Amino acid sequence: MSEIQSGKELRDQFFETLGERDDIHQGMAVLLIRLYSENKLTGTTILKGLEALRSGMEDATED
Amino acid sequence: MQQRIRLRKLCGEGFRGILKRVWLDFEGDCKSLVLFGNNGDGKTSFSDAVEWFFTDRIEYLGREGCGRQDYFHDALPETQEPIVELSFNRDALDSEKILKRGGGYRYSNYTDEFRNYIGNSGKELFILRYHTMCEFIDKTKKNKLEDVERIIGFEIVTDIREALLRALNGLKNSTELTGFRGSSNERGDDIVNIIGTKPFIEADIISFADGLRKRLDYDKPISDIDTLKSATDQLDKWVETTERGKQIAWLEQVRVKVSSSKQIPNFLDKLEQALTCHNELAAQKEKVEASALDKLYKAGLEALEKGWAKPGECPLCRQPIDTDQLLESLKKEVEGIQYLLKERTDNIEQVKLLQYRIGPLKESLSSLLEDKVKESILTPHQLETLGSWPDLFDQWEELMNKIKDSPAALTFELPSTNSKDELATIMTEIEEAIEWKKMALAETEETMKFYQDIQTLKSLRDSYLRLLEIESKIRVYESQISSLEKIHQEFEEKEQEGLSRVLEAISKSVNEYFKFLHPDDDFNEIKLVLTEERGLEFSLQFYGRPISPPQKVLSESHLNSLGISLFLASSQYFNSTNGFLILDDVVSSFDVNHRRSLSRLLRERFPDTQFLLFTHDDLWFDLLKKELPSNSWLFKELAKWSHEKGVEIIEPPMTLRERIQYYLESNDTTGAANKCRTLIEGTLKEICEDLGVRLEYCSREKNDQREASELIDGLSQYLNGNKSLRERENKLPFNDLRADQLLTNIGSHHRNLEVTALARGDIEIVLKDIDAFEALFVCSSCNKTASKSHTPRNSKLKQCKCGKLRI
Repeated sequence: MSEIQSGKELRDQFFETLGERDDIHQGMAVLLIRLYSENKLTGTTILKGLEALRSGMEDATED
Repeated sequence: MQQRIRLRKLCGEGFRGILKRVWLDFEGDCKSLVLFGNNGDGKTSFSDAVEWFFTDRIEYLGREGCGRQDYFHDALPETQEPIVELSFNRDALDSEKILKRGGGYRYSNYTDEFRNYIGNSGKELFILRYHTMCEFIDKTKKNKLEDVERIIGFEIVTDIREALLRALNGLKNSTELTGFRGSSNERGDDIVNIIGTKPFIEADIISFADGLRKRLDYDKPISDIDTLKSATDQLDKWVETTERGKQIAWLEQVRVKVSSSKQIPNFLDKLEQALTCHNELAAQKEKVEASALDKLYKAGLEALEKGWAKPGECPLCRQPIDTDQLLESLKKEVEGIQYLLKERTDNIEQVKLLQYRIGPLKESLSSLLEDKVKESILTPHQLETLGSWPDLFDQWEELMNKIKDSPAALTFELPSTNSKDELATIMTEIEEAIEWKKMALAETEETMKFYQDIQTLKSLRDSYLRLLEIESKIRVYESQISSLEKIHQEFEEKEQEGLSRVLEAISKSVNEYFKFLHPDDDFNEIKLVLTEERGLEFSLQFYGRPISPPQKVLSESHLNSLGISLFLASSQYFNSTNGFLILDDVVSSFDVNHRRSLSRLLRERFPDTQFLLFTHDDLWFDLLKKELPSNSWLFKELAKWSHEKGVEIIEPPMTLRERIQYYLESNDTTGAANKCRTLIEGTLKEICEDLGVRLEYCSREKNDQREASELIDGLSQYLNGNKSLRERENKLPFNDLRADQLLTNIGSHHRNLEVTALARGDIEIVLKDIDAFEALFVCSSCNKTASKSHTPRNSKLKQCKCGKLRI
């Protein structure tokens, strides 16, 4: 029984370790973790967040 | 671990078949219960009550098209409301639930603890009914996986994976990204046109630029993009030092705008195509309007495919209908709508791309209407023609917005494109005029070439810088796509891993329970395995051969065992809140041996679980009374259901013989005859099993459906073969029993035939005959039957416990 993870445990664990990864875009990791913790993770909210990240990155480039 | 919740009392009133208040009392220590009742006597009203108490619905009734109005007992006065009341081994959770006539429901327990308990219980599966058990086995692989994901709480994982996938697809198919890729190609083509090398790398551009630099006698070499920029800036300054240079540079700028404006006719062709496509789709008005019902059709299709709708009835309007025909026509409708929606989506994507292009085109054309151009390059006719275009651009922008946002069934017209060809002609004329002017200013071919080279270098710089800018934007997209792809893939792998672990654990238990129920059958390694395209299926080894799906080799009885095993295994792993399970008439197709195995499985492997076992099978009921420990199990029986009284409990429950007497006292000789038939068969089966009587081979459940005559024949052969009980006085009970069996058959099957109606006396004689027959096999000294269990191995005759009776 102990080796079996519930759906919630599995999701929690995945998002807990997402921020520690260095092979993925950190801004994206932060975005996904925030949306997940706020229970707002949907296809649309992810796309909106990524759009904001892109314009932020462009601004940073322009600066 | 906190003690799991068990039921102390279950009470219903006015709910489903229950009219007057009825209690199932599981006593202070929350015992398990076997509830016997004939079909229609109201057993399922109790499981319905429990399901509604926790989930506010009764799922199988919903699939049959029944709603909350069907939860009210028909004879319940209008002033009363149905009540279900549950008491538990934790008093703080006790509550009534009232089904309100005005709609909704009300619990009497308002505490947070109770609310949390109901919330947690809603995620657990604790009721198994015969038909739901069969349904799971027969479901598609995809639906099996969905069901199991729901049972084990993995649907919340699926939601996340799907959100990630939707975002990933959204990124990959982004119109902006497509626009960037288009612009990147255009800038690439511009560069290829200048340097004449395809494909090219930055070194090709630099090398070409440096070649031009040498031709221009500019002394600083061009070795990278920065030196290219500083060289073009410096050359620009050279040009600006003379009036002629300024004029030629300006003319070259205008030429670039003209060149860009020459793309307008091509843009218009594309816009026309998109509009034609839109109007063609909009012309299919009925289909377009029907597309608004897409979700409804899909829901109807699902209801029919999953068997939720009543056969022969429309799931929406409940009018009689040919289900197969409706299914076929809904499939066609949904396919048509999907095609239409895809066409429309593709067209809107095309329009979005055009929206990206229109801005720069409008800007190029408008720049040709600036005063200086008007005065020095354009003829009055050209000016008049070009002057009307900016307004057209505004109209096209409006049109594209309409196509994108308006209801799909509206058609539109393209604002005038008559001057499209004229525009192309004018643009060529303006280009030629510019060339003439440049030549006139330059005076010589050599000077002209000089200014052209400078302009080429600047165009190369601009195109390359723009290309770099666009590629940087594309890279941002691609980096997001790559990261999201990785995240999605790893999440999916984690989900699969978690699911596989769960399935492995459940499979282990399913295999163990199934083997417990069928110890002699050669079915091994029963597993639930993930299939391709996200599905789930059972697999097993049959005589060493892998089999999937199990329907290939398993009988109905085996499939039922599989359903029960899966239910028990999943409850073992996932019911952490509740410690009770309801098995509602789940052994219908089980033979005697497997019923006994099931009762032992429950007794031995689930000592901490409270079971509510409902059955209409009186033989099994009697068997369970013998098999299950009376200190932890209760046995109750339901009286015959009536509209006026609803469900009633008989206490204490009756044996089969007592039940026959009950029918006789109620003057129901047909019912009594029916039970006598069951008693004769049950008695014969028990004797045959005890003596090890050999009968003609019958496969699986047919073995248990043998009729009494067949059993009597087999028993007679055994006795003749063993030369026992051959005296005439012993043969008489056989003959009597044969006659009784015939009599009770007629009595129970021909209830409407007056001439065959049985008298109470007939039944009493049958009961005496059964007693006399049974006595033949019981020892008068030790009062035990002759049986294999008392007999030494290899002994032909079976003996009683003391050995005095040998048969």
